[in-house]
Amino acid sequence: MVKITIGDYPPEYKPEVHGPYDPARYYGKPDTPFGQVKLCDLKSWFGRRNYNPRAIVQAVSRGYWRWQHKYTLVKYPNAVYIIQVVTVAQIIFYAINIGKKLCHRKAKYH
Amino acid sequence: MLSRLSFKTGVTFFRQDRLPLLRYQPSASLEMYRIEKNKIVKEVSVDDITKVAATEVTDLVPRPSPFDSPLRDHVNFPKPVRLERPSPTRMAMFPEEWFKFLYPKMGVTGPYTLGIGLILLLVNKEIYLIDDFEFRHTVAFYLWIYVFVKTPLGKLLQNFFLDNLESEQFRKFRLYNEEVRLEAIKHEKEEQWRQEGKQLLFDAKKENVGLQLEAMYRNNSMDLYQQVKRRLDYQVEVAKIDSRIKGQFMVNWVNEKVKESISKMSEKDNLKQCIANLNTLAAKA
Repeated sequence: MVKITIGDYPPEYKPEVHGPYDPARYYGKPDTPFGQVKLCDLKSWFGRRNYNPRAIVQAVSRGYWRWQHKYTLVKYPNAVYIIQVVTVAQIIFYAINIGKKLCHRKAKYH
Repeated sequence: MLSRLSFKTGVTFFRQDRLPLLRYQPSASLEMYRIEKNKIVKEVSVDDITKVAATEVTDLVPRPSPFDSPLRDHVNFPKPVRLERPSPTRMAMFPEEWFKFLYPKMGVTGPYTLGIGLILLLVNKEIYLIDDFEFRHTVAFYLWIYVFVKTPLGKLLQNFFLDNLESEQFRKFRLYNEEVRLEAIKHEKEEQWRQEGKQLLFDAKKENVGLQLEAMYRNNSMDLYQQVKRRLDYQVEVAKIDSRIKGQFMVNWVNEKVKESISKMSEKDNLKQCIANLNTLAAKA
């Protein structure tokens, strides 16, 4: 039986080595950052990624917390994070509703 | 109600399911903890909350923090620092890091070219449709952002807020917020205290229900005893009367029989016997 745990720390996290838990940090073995990968190594880099749904959720969570630390949980936040949320929401909802709109392409007169 | 039932129909009273067989058992012991100066005091009371049967005192030893271990890696995993201001962005939207990432590949204008080119591509291929409703609102939204971020009016507003962040008014507002939260914490503590009281009340109510059950049980037991005794008394009385009537009857019967035997036949014999007796008496005299 595989024990399914939700809400636990990642198994790689050790308090005595890593200190207080930071949800934005990856505690596993670090790979080359995406920005420093050469084009020829890109395929093997993607091959080394973990596509387990659990790992994907963890990665999204880390990204979310990194964004939070950068824009919303600062001492003096500004409107940037609101604008970003609105923009991303616009793009997502446009993508959801695009099927209803594409018929407008064929209309000659609007 | 049970006694009334028993008067109407004597049989139903003796059915087992009419009687509450479950007897109330009060809780055996209660444990309570409280923290005094660097000590945990455990109080155990039996049956009664007010009487303490035994106390146990344990010293509070501060547990060593796991973060102070010599294995701690301060180089690769430094303590996270909270930012003063949000991380820098361009056009109040795109992170500076993206531009830094694209700079060696595309130069200064590259990211802008990429962005504008992408938008133009989407518009050209009619993936992004310029319609009556959404396009207008999008443009209006970003125009307002432009006004607040880049124009002198926006700069004025920004500077006003930045300059006054440490001012008296803002501090008052922040202190007010703090006060409200402290008040909320106080209320929360009070509510917790009330909840503890509620627990005592529940215990008392349970105790009360138990006592009621016990009283009901004893009442029913007494009722049962009395009803059984009544019936047994009746039986005794019936037996007594029965034996008395039988005795009376026997006495009467014997009397009657004796009287019957005396009459008729024996009366002549008696007379003869009497005459004979008289004769003998006369001869003697």
